[in-house]
Amino acid sequence: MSNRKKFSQVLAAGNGIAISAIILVAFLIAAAVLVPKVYSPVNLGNIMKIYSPVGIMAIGFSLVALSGEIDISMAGVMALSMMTGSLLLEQNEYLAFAVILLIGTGCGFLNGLLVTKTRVPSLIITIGMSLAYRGLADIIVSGQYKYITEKHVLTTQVAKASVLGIPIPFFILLIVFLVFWILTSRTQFGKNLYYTGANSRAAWLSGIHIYRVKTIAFTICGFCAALTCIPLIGQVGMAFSGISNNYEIDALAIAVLGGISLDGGRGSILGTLCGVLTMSILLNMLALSGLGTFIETMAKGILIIAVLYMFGFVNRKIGITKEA
Amino acid sequence: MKKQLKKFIVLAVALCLVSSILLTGCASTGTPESSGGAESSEAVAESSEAAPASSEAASESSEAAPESSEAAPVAAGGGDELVEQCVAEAAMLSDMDAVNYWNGLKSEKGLTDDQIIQFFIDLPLSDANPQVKALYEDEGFEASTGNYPKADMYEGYVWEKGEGVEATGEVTGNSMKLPYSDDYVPVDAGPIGDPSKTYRIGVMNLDSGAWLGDLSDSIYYEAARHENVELIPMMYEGDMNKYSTQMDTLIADGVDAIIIWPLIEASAGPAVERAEAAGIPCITVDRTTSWQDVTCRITGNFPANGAQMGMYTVWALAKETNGESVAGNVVLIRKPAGSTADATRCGYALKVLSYMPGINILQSYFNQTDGREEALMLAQSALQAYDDIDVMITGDEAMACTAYEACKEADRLTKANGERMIITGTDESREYFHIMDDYAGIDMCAPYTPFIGDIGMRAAVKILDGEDVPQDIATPNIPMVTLDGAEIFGLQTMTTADWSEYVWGAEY
Repeated sequence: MSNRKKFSQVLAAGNGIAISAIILVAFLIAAAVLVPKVYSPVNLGNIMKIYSPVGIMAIGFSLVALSGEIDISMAGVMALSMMTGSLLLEQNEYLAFAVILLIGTGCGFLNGLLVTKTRVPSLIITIGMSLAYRGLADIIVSGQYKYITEKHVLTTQVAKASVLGIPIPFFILLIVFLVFWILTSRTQFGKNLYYTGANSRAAWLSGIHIYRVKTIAFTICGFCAALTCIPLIGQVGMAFSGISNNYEIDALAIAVLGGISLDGGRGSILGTLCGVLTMSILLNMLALSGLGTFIETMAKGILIIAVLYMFGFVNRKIGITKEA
Repeated sequence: MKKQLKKFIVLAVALCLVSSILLTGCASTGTPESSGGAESSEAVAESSEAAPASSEAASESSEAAPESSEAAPVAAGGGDELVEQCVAEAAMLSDMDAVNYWNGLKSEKGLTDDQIIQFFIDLPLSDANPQVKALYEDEGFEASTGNYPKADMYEGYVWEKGEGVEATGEVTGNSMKLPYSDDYVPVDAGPIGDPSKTYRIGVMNLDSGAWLGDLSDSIYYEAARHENVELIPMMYEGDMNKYSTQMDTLIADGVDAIIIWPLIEASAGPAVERAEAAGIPCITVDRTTSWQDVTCRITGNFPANGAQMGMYTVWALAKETNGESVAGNVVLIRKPAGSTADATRCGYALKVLSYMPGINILQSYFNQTDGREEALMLAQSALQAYDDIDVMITGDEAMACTAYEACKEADRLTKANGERMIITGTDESREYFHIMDDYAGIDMCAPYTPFIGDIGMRAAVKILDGEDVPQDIATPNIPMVTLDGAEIFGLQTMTTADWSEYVWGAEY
């Protein structure tokens, strides 16, 4: 086998995971050399706590993206499920969590139904639904905050406690990752998801119920958005409909950074996990470097584009190799 | 294949180079070990040398504090000759000489509490701390501090503790006490103008946020006192394009007046100009717009907030050394760049800090989303990036509360010198006071009440009644709230108990 083929195969391994892993390792090394404070135990704890919620959301987003659709409503889903559930926090935190997850899952299901039944592009549907969910959330609580205090023991623990030095939000991220990684890589549903995303017409002709697959993907995404709320509100000490502003954009960036193709059918949940870690190291490295907010923002943009360009570059080369 | 491999390697190397240049560049400018830090150490040493002469005065001042336990009534305003004279004298001083002078503002110069706040607002930028001066000038703070309207109190009003009216918020359902109702810019309850006519007043605000919700509450409170007033609320959700469209809708609808909370000064102006041209009086509340000829502006007390954060920082650092020196590393956690509130408050704080050469600004962080999550992240990053932070000056209540949370989690509430981390902030939410009361976790709060919409509403009522109303109406410069109600440079501060009846937000 020629070197060219070997190189292409290595990079293409595991649906692009190799590239995600190489980028992650590059950033880990860069952090160690340039900003060693990234590896202080307290900072690592912070990273795991802070970026786990958006990581959970990115995994949900990845499933929708793999199905060839897009979901921009996650912040709205978060707002509605968070604010509704927060009304029950005083009575019973378990019940509040259950309501949060139920509403989020329901919103995701509704998104899926609307996308598949109306055949309006998912981008449009989910932008509209995001506004609707956000508005409804504000109506329910009159645009007010709900403070999370020490008396909300469970919420605070889920957000801040650690087991064996690992923050609980990171454990939640790992569990979500494992479940959906297995679902997408080891089950028939996972195969159908990839087939649907890669070529929905061919999948449909092959007998795959593509609408069901997409609806399930949206439902999981809604569940993940709602799950994101639980550690998040405990971390910031407040439930507020605007708390999740821009979260969907971060989730999208992470998924793409992890190798998920917005065209559908390409990428993996393992890659998304690499994307979460890469993004968190990158942002943390910039934050600790003392660059100042403006340069940090610029550097973040440039580096993300550079990494994505690298993905595109490698993918194009792999494509050429395959064609050859 | 070789060509492609080469391209890939070149790209990867370029990426690493860009990151390295950016990251190493910043590491050499922003960290405490950098040259800036060394300069700061020198400044600290210089300031320590000057300290002994001043320790007596400082301790005298702290002894004098308990004698004046009652907070004097305060009012906003400028143009006071005594204040002007003191400012002229103090402008030439720096470091502990300045601190000594400030300590005598009440006892030696005879300034009242209100005049002391005004003194610190009026202090010009000093050359004493080149770093602070450069930051102030480079970031263009003068554009905000110089242009923010300097208004007088309406008819010489003087606010006194305990004043105000209790009510339940129409919009939020929160219990509230409006500090300036019904005494400031007073109007009688009952129908306004022509009793047979219904006056329709547009209200431009955002649809969410506890502070803004309570601002709306205060507008509704006053509107409810006049049976022939109908409010037409417009919620522009922070979208200035939508704001413009909604303003045009109100103009086309021919409303009698518009009360506006303008999110962004520059882009809010043209629509106000159109409304005024159509004969509709506009009243802005809190923030201002770029249209200078607006009928009326109810200005907030941003300058007093900023000046008092600067005062507290200097006072607290001096207290750590028993009045021997003022030196410390400061981190600024600010609202989004371009915010009137941030630029004005921060500018006034920096002007006070500029008199202290021992102060070193480690970093100025912007909370670009104005969100609580980013505020927490910034505070955590600051604590990880800098091992020797003495003071965190924050832009609002969310940033102050999250700074406290971050310090608590990082076990940095107590500094290496055994003193507490100094956290200052503004906007007195119920959560903020809870942290101050129960944990002594935040040192001070410069009050900034949302219950000023009622003043705007009363101004609108007066205008519609045909009364003359000044273009600028100030809100009182409320003294800062501190943990123990200390006297700071002669200013008698309040305790949380003094101001707790006026706090805003949902029940904590």
